[in-house]
Amino acid sequence: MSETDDLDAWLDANAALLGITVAPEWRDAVRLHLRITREHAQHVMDFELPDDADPAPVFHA
Amino acid sequence: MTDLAWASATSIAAAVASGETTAATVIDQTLARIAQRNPLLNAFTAITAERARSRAVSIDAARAAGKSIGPLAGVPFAVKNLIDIADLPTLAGSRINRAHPPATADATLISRLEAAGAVLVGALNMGEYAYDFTGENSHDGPSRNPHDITRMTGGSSGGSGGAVAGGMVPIALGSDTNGSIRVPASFCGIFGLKPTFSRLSRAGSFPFVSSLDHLGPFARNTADLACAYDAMLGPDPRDPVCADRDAEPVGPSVAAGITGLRIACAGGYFRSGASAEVMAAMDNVAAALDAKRQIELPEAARARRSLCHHHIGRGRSAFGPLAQAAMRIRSRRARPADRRCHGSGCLGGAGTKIPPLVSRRRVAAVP
Repeated sequence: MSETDDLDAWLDANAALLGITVAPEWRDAVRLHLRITREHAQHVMDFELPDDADPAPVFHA
Repeated sequence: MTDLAWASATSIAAAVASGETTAATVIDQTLARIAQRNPLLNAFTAITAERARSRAVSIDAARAAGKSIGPLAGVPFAVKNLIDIADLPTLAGSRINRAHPPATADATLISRLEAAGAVLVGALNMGEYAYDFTGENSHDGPSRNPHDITRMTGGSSGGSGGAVAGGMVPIALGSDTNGSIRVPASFCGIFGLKPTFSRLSRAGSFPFVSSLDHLGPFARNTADLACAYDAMLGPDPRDPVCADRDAEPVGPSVAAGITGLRIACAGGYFRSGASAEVMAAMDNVAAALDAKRQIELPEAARARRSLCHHHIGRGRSAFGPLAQAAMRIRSRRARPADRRCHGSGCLGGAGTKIPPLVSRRRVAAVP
């Protein structure tokens, strides 16, 4: 399966789950967005986090 | 005050306070200027003329009666259309929000500016759901850069930048989740303030990412920016993250300029990928501020990408719910104990109290 097929399958599955219609003329832009999102996600996931890492949700300044 | 279009907010307020002019005159001239310039600049999506005139009459009456009229008396301002204005639907730049019922009350920041004597004259154009950087809106048309109308204002608070830089109002409000005040302020050659998180209430504004959303002012000089900021400061029970601390006004220290401030440039990631022209402009600003030190923030590239995902997951883009689900899976991988935790907001450890979901726009009025 090529990367485009892969993204198309993702796009179709998500659209069906969310109950939205993606018009044919939008597909290229949506696919591009998904590709960038996936690349960004991979970069973030590549960072090694220890199991005891905790977010810091409270900010004071 | 010969040219009201370029008058500062503080000089307008002084002229109204001294009786050199009236709030009604200021507002009439402002509305006339908006009618003349807005067809070209497309900064406004709604003009609250009747409300503004009525408010101006009240200010003039209060002055005539010897009452206090506030540090921004008669100063016109406008707000990005994601900030609630009573009786108007809050668009957030989108088409589908147009069918929403009108807001039942003004946002906190509008109430505070009006309590200081300022006069709301309208709502401002923005990128759809603030997802742009350009100030271009598919439904309302692009906001235009007053310095060159063939150029973008930058976004997402494009109308805020255009309205202030175009001489239509001296003060505007915008919002910044990922640059949306900083970008148009820069592109339009004016000042914008993304305040420290939690200093200004977001109550009555359309939410995108709670932990990153900021509201803030635009102005053509720093004294006006400080005056608007100071008028809006202070705790607000309608926004749960608004700092519960006394207001710390900055107006008194503005005249000191940069004396005593430590300013450094961000290096590393922030010096990569930019054109020579951009680098030269940045170096020019750094030299003007005498900023010689360079600091490097670790993992900035990854943090930025993580931020993008945070936007997608917590925001309202089409695939948001699934990205959010993916983020929860990611957070549980980091914290095995969290597998026991179900429902929204599961980022804490087992036993962590999960805050209830709150609405910034639908909290009952606080007495």
